[in-house]
Amino acid sequence: MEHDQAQTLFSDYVEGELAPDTRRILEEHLSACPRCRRDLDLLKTSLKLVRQLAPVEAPAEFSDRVRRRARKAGLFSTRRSRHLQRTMVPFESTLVVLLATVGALVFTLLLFHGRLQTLIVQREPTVLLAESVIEVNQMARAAWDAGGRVLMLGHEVPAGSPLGGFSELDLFIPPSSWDAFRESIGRIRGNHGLPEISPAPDSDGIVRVIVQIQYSKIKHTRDAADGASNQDRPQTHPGQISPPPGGRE
Amino acid sequence: MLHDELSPTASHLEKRLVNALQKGDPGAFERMVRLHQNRVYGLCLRMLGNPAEAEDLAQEVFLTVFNAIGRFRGESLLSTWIYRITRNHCLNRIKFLRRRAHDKRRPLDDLREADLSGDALHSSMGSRVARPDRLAEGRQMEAIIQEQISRLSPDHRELIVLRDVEQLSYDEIQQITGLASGTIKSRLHRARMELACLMAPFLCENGG
Repeated sequence: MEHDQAQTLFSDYVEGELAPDTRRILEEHLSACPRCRRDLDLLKTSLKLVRQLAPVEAPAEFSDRVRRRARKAGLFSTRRSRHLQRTMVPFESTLVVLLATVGALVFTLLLFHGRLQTLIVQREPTVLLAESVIEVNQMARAAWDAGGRVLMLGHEVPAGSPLGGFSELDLFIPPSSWDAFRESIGRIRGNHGLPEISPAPDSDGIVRVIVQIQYSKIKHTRDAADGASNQDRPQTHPGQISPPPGGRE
Repeated sequence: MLHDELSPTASHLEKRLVNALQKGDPGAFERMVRLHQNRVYGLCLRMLGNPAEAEDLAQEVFLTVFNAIGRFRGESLLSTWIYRITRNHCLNRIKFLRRRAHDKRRPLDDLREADLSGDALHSSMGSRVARPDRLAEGRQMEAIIQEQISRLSPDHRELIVLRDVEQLSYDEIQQITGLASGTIKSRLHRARMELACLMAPFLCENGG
C-alpha cells in the first residue's frame, strides 16, 4: 500500500468504519511506515482536541436580547394578524370576486340606461361656422336628410322648416349617418366641411354639431365683395372649422 | 447532540411548540430560543470564530425561524430545521465578511489550496506528535483550535463543526447540508487532513 492510498483511509480508520480486510492491510502498512504513522497520530490528536472543545453556552441574557430584537422588528405585533391573514385569504379572495362581479353588473346596467355613457362622453361638440343664413338652412337640411334633429334655443325644429334670425343651432346626427352628413357639409362648404376626426357621441348617443353664424364673416365677405383685402379675414378659433377661402354668401 | 427521533412525549411537545410558534405566540418564541440557543450560538461561534458576530447571527437565526415557521412541515425535527437555517446563515455571513474584508488572503490560505494528500502535512510537522496532555493548556489550546477551524474553507469548516465538534450523525449532517452521504465523507476526510495540516505546527514537539 502506498502513502497516498493509506492516507485516504485515515478518516474511516479513526471512525472505525473500515472493513476488517482493509483495516488489516492499512495496519500492516502503518507498522512499516513511520511517516504514515506520524500523520495518523497527528490526525488523531487533532480530532481528539477538536472533540474535546468545551460546549458553548449562549451569552447571559441572550434570550432577552433576541426577544427585544424580535419585538423591535415588529414580529410579535404583526405575527397574529399575519396568522389571521393566512386564514382570511380564501374569504378575502371570495369578497374581491364578489365585489368585482357586483361592480361589473352595475357598470353594465348604467351603460344600458345611458347614464354612464353621459358621464363618459361629455365632450365639447363640434362647432361649425356658417357664413350666411342660406348656409345655415343648407346645414339644417343636411342634418334632416341624415336622419338627424335640429334644435334652436333648445326647441326642436320640425324638418323642412325655414330658419331665420338665431345665434346658435344644435344639430344632432346619428353616428350611422355621420359620413353622409360630412359629405353634405363638404359640398355646402366647398370641401371645407367637418373635421376628419368624428366628434364623440353626445348623451343621447348621437353626434352633436353646433352651427353658429359668423356675423363678422358675413361682414367680411361683404367687404370682400366690395374689394377689401383677404388679409383682414378673422382668425378661426381652435376647434372651429375654417371657412373656405373666398367663401360664398 | 441532536437526536434522529424524539420520544412520543418529546414529539408531542415539539408539535405543540411548533403550533404555538405558527400562531405567533411570543411565549413559544421564548421557549424555542431557550431550548436551542446554546446549539445555535455554538454553531455560529465555531463557524465564525467571533463571539460578537456569532451572537448577532444567532439572534438573526431565531428571527428567521420565527418568520419562516409557517413553512415548517414537520418533515424533519425542529432542531434539524433550525440547524439548517443556522448553517445557511453562517455560510452567507462568512461570504459577507469575506467580501467586507476585500478577500484579504492569509498566509495559510495558500497552504489550504496545496496538495493535502500528505506532502504538505508531512512538511509542516516535526518528527513526533506531542502528547495532548503536554500541549498548550486549556483555553490557549482551545483558542488555537478555534483559530485553525476558522482558517478552513467554509465547506470544510461546516463538516468539521457538525461532525467533530457538534458530533452529529451522518444522517443529520445530510439533512442539514443537503449533501450526499458520499460527498460528506470524502469532503470530511479532506477537511480533517487540512485541519491536521494546520494544527501540525502546534502539535509537533520540534515542529512548531
